Amino acid sequence: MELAIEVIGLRRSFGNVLALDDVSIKVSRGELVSLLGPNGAGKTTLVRHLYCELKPQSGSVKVLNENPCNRRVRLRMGVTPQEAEPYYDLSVFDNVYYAARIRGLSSHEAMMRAEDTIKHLGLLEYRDKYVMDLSGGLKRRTLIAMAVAHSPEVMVLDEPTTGLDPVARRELWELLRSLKGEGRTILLTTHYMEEAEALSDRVYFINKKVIDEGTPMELRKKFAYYYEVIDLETGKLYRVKEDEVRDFISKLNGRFEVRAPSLEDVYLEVMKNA
Amino acid sequence: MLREILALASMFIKEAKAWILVNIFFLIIFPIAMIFSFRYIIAGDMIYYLISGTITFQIAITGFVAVPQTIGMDRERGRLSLMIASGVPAWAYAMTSTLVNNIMAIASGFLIIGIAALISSLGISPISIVLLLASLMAGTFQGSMIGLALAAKVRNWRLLNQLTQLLGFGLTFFAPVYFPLGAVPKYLLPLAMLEPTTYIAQAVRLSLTGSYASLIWDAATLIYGVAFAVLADKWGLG
Repeated sequence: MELAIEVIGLRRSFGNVLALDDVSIKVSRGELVSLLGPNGAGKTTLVRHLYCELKPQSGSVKVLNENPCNRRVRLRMGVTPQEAEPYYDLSVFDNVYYAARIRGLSSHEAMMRAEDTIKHLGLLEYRDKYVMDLSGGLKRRTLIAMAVAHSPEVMVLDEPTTGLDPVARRELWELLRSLKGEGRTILLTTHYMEEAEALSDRVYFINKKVIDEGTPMELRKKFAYYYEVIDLETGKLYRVKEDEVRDFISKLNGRFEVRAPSLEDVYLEVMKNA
Repeated sequence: MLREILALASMFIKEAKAWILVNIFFLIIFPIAMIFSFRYIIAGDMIYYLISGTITFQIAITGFVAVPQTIGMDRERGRLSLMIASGVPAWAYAMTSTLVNNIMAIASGFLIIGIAALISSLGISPISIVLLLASLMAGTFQGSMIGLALAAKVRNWRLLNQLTQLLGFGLTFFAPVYFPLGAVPKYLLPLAMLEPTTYIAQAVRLSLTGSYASLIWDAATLIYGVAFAVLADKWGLG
C-alpha cells in the first residue's frame, strides 16, 4: 500500500536531552494511526517534524513521498498543532476562510470551501460568532475546520481532544471517523487509550523510541496471557492466567465478568517494561 | 507566496479592530497630548526634539513592544506552529505582522508632523517629508528587527511582555531622544551610542530640519536593524 507518512531512524535531541531515538513509523494512505505515549515521550516532537517546524538531526521524514519542508507538501496537509488556538478576534467563518486563503486558494474558492466546511463540521450556527465566545470543544472544532478547509490528503492532529468534556470528545471522534471515511490519512497523538482503540487502524507506543506497534487487537492479543475476572458478588478483581480461567471461574459462586486486557492495560504493561 | 502574504495582512488588519482603541490612543491621542502639553515649556528649535522624540517613541512602542508581544502571543497560542504547518514560513508571518503594526506607526509619524505644524507653526519643507519617510522606514525596520530578535530569544511570554515594555520606555527616556546627543556626558556617550533609539531620533530630527545628514543616521539605523535581523534569524522564531 502506498505510504502517506514515512519516518525512518529519526533522532532528535534538545541540548543534552534526547527526545527521539531512532524512531521509524509508517502510515499508509487512508489509515488512521495513533501515537500513544506518556508526557515527554516525544510525540509532539515527532509531529513537529512532519510539518517542518523541526528538521531532523538524523534520519528522514517523508510526507506524500516528499520532504515536508517543501511547501507544496504542506499545502496537501492539514495540521492542528498541540495547544494551537484559532484567532479569537475573528469569527469562525473568518478563521476558516483565511486558513484556506493562506494556503493559496482564491478568495471565491476559499469562501465556498469555508462555507462548506463550516456546514459539514456542524459549525453553521456559530458561523459569525467570535472564537473567543466559543466553548473549548467548538474552538477545537474550528481548528479542525481550519485544517480541513483546503481538503488535505493527510491530517496530523496533535492531541485534538485533550481537555474536552466527554460529550465534546465523542463528537470529535465522530468527526474524525467521517474525515477518515472520506479517504483522508490521519495521524493522531493522544493520551486516551479508549480514543486510540475506538478510532485507530494501528497504534504506535512511543517513549522516545517506538516501543511497540500494531492494530489495537493485535496489541491486546499479544498481552492476552492473562484475563481479568471480576467477581460481581464481591467486586473483587483477579488477574488469572489464560489456561487457568476455566478452573478459576468454576469455583466462583454467583455472577462474574471475564475480560481480556484493555489497550490501557497493555499500554501500562508495555511502558513498565520499556 | 505574495498572495498568501496579502491574505495574512488582510487577516491581521481585520483582527486589529479588536485593539483599535489602544492603537488610536498610543498612535494618535497620546502624541497630540504630548505636543500640546509640552510646547508651552519648550522654546525655539527645541520643538524639533519634542517632535522627533515623540515620533521615536512611537517607533519604539511599535518595534520593541507591539511586534515582539504579538509574535510572543502567537507562539504561546500555537498560531506560529499553525502557520508553519499551513506552509507559511515563520519569517513571512512575522514580517507581515510587523508590517501591519508599522503602517500605523508610520502614519502616526506624519500625523504628529501635521499636528506640530498646526499647533506650533512648524515649517516643514517637501524635502523634509521625503527625508522623514526614509527615516521612519529605517526606524520601523530597526525597531521591528530588535523586536523580532527579542521574541526569538525570550521564550517566556510573561518575561517577554515585561522586558519589551521596559525597553520601549527605557530606550525612549534613557536615551538622547527628547534632548540633544551633545547634552549626554562624555562618559555616557558609548552607552548612548549602543541605544538603538539614539540613531532613530537623530535621523528623524535632522530629516525634520531638511538636513541630508539624516541619511547617515538612517544608514546606521539600517545597519543596526540588519544586525538584529541576522540574530532573529539565527535564534529562530518557531
